[in-house]
Amino acid sequence: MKVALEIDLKSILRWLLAVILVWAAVSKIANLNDFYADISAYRLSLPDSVLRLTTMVLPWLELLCAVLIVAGTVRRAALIWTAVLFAVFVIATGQAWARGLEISCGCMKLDFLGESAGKILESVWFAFLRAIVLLFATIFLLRQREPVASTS
Amino acid sequence: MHPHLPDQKPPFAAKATTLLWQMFGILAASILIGLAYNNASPLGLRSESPSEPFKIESPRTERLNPSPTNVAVASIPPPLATNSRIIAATPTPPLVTNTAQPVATPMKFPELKWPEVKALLSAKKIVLVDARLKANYDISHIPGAISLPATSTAPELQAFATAYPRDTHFVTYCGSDSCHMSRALAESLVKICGYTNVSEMPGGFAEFIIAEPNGGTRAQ
Repeated sequence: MKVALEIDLKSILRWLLAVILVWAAVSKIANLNDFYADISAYRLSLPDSVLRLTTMVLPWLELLCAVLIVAGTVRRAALIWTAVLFAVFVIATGQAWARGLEISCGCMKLDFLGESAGKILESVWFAFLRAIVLLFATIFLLRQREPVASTS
Repeated sequence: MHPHLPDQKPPFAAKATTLLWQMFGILAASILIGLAYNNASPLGLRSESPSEPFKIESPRTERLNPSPTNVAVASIPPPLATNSRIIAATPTPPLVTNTAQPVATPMKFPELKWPEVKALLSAKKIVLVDARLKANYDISHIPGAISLPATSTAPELQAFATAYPRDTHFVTYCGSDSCHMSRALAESLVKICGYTNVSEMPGGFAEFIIAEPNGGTRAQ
């Protein structure tokens, strides 16, 4: 019974991560220029070429990770990348929050939830807390052993 | 020790190497897809040189100039060639036609940096217009700016134009220098609303937020 519950929790977490990653990726891919402006507003000391490359590559990395986490193919590698991504988000949004930057996190578009809800959900402080939770969820999944097929 | 044990359980180094190769594969695939998509898609990130003329893409032009409004737009009086502040980049096809063909007149606008805009804004000599989507404006915008998304329809733009006299000096901005919205809006203000004194702040909100620590304002 306990095993079944754990497997369910893992599956739920995987699907949750995948849905969040897909949503975030599609929001960015649909408007790369906005995403570039969003990450420029973080005022990180990075060259423009790095910001541009990040703008082009990061959404696809998110999308690939989502697909691989659900599909089960090279899942561990995808989970490690996901953890790296969330760790980077924690650092980026954390420094923006600490510096008091009033910017959109650029994580995902949530306008459909309403104006005020969208504002809160796209704020850097909320993105920071969300990234921490998702980072821990990813680490939890990484620490789980994949089920081994029985040979007996 | 069981002789087959090493075969059944690969050593840590081998597993780590496999994992690293898989991670590298994911990253390489992301880079390839990302670069290919960026090159192929009209939504991709573009690096524009300042001298590159801006061209309105056909779908947007059709949206801003649907055929019923073409007649109204054609009656806008000031010809661009006589306007000293707005310079057409190429010799001019007629601004508007009554055909359904999209109008792609490359235009250039005076480009202002944030310090100049700041001074003009303080002196109340300009109206600063945020061309980004309303959701972005609501999250944060330059204090004193008003929102008029570049995606506004022709009737919305014409309604906006009733609030400001024809000699108003507008300065448009969007996200950053890679964003096309401010120039698209500047073109719409000229072509659809008939304004003649329109400038652009190409650095956009990114230039402002870099120059002004904690300077953004949320919509109330």
